[in-house]
Amino acid sequence: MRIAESSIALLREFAPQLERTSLAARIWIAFLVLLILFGGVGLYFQVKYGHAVTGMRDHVVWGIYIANFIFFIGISYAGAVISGILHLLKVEWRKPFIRLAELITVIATIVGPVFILLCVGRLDRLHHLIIYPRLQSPITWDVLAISTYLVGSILLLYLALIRDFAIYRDTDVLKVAKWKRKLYRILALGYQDLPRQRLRIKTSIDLLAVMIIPLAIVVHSVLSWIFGMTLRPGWHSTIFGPYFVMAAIYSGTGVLIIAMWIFRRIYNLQEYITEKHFTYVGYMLLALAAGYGYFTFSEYLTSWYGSEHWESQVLDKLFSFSEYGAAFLFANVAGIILPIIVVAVRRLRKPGYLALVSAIMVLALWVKRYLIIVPTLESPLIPMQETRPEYVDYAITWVEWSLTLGGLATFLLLFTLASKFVTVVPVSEILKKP
Amino acid sequence: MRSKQISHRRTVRWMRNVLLLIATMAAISPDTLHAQHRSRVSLECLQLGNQEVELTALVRARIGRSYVPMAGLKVDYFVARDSIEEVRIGSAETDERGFASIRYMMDGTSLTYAFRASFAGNDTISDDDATTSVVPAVLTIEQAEDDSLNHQFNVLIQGWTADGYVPVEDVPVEVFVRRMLSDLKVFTGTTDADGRLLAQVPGDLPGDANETLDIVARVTEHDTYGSLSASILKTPRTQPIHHDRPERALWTDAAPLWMLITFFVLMGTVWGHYLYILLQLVGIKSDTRKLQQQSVNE
Repeated sequence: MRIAESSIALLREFAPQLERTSLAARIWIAFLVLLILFGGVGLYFQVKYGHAVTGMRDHVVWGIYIANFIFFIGISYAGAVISGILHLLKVEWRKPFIRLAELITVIATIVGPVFILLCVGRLDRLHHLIIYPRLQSPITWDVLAISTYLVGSILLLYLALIRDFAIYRDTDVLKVAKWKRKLYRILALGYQDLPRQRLRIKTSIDLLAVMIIPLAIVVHSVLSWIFGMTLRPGWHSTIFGPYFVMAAIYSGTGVLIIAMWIFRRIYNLQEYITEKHFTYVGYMLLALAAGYGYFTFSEYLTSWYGSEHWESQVLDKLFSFSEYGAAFLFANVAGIILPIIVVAVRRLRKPGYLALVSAIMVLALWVKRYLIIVPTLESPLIPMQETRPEYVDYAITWVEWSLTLGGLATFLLLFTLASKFVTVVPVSEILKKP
Repeated sequence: MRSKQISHRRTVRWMRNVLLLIATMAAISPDTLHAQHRSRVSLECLQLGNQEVELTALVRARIGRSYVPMAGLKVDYFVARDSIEEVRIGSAETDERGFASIRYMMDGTSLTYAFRASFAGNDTISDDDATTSVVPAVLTIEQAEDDSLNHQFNVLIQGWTADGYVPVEDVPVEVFVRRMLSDLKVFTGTTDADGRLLAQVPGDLPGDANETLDIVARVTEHDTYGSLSASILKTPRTQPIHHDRPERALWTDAAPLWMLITFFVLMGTVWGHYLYILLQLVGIKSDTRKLQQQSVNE
C-alpha cells in the first residue's frame, strides 16, 4: 500500500509510544495491576461469604456497584455521541481526539456491565436471562441494548482503525515486536487503500455514525427506565430518560477532556490536540452542564413542589446535612456550577483548568449516581420496623471499595494497553503540517 | 544489545515481583484475617400441650457487621426444675438457618422449669448460652358456632399450679391461618377470667391446596409460660381460586405481541446493519485478493 508522506511523518513521531514502555509506564501498569489484585481479594471474599460482605441488605439492595455501572455506561457516551455527531457534521477538528473518545466508549462499555455481575446474587442463574427472557422487563431491555451498543461501538472503533493498521503493517518506521506486526497484518484485513475499499469503510462508518447516536440514547434511556418504571420516590419520573442521557453525554465529555489532557502531556501531542480543541470541547461541556443543570432543577423542583409524603422523605434526606446534604451540595455545585464558571471565564478556559474541573465534575456525577440509588432505597413505602440499623442504612464496605477500585484500574489499564497498541491520534486521518 | 538485555532482566524481575505478590495474597486465609467470631445464642420454649415442650436454640456469629446464622454447631440443653440441680437433657446440631431443636417431656411434678441452651464454642466461634424458664401450661382451640360472617373458635389457656391446671387470665393470644409463605394473622385478643377467648376468623378466607383452613392459636414468649401453640383444621366456606395461567413464554398467546413486533423490527434493523458492515469488512479482504489475483494474471 502506498502510504502518504504525512502519515509516515506522523507515525515517526508516535513510534516511541508503540515501540517502548518507559519505566514510569511500567510502574503505572504495575500499580494498576496491584489495584486489580486488591479487587480480586474483595471478589474472593464476596464469592466465599456472599453479599453479606457488602453493605447491601434487604432494603438497600443496590449500592455502589450499580452507581459504578451507570457511571461507566455514562462515560461511554464520549465516543458514541461525540464521535457520531461530529462525524456526521463532518467537523474536521474532531480528528485528533476522536480515537480517544472511541476507546473510552468501548472500554467503558466492557467494564461497566461487570459491576452488574458483581451485584447479582445468583450468578449461577445468569443464563436464565437468555433462556427465560421476559420482554416486559427493563432488565432484559438493558441486556439487549448494552450488548447491541457494545458491538456497534467496537465496530465503529475497528472501522476507524483499519487504515491505521494497514499503515503500521506496511511501514518500516515502526520497530515493534513480531507478534504485534502479525496482529496488525491480521487486523488490517489486507487493506490496500483501493477506492472500493475506501468506499466500503466510508459507507460503514457513515451507517454506524447514524446508528450509534439513537443506540446510545436508547441504552441510557433503558438504563434510566430500570429506575423510572419503578414506583419509588426519586425514581418514578418521566424525565429520567433524557436526564440520564444528558448526564451521560456530560460525564463522557468530561472524561474525554481528562483523557485529552493526559495523553497530550504524556505523548507531547500539543501540536495535534491544541488549546483550540479544548476550547471547542469546553463549549460542549458548558452547553451540556446547562442542560444537565436544567434537568436537575426540574427534577427536584417538581418533587419538592408536589410535597408528596414519600417523595418528601427522599428530598429531606438529600437536603439534610446530617444525611446526604453535603454530598448533594457537592454533586450540584461541582457537577453543574463549577464547570460553567470555568468554561465561561476566558482566563480559566485553559486545558489544565478544563481538565481539573472535568475531573471534579466526573467525581460529582459519580456521587450524583450514588444519590439517585441509595437515598431512595433507604426510604421504603412500608416502614422498616424492628430492623437492625445496618439493615436500614447503606454503608460501603471495603469489599465494595476494592472492587470499585479494581474496576477503575481495569478501565485505566485497558486504556493504557490500548495506547501501547494503537496511536491515540489516527495517523491515517491527520495531515501533518509541513 | 546490552540495553535490551537489561530491559529483559528488568521485565523478568518485575513479573517475578507481581507473581510473589499474587502468591502472598493467595496465602491469606479468612481465618488469619478474622479473629474468633463472637457468638449469640437465643432460646425459645414452645409448649405443645400434654406436658411436651419444644426447645429451639438459634446460634449466630458476628461476621462483619452482622450476626449470621451458623450451621453444624452442637447445642447442649439443660433443665433445672424448681430447686433441683441442673441436668443435661440432650443436644442437637444447628441446621442451615442456625436453628437446633429438641423436644422434652415435662414430668408434671414441678412448678417451674428453667431451660438452658449452651454452645461450647470452638476455634473460630466463641461460646455463649441462653436461658428461659416456663410454668407448664396448655393452650387448646376448639370449634365454636360460626356466625354469618366468621368462623369462631374457643381458645382456652390453663396454667399449672400446686392444685393442678387452672384457667389463666389476661394472656395475649394471636390467631393465624397458615398460608404458603407465612402465617396470616387474623385475630388478636386476651383471655378472660375463665382463661377463655372467642377467636373470630373471617369466613371468606379461601382454603389451602388441601381445601382446608389450618387455624393456629399462639401465645408468643409469655413471661411465665413461654410460647404456647395449638391448631385446628376447618373446612373453608370459600374454595381456593385456581387461575388458569398460560405458560409464560414468548411463543404463547400471553406474549405481548406489540412488544415482540417492535423488538424484532428494531433489533432486526440494527443487527441487519451490523451484518451489512461485517460483509463490507469481508469485502475489503476479498478486494485485496482480487487485486493480487489480477496482478498475478497480468
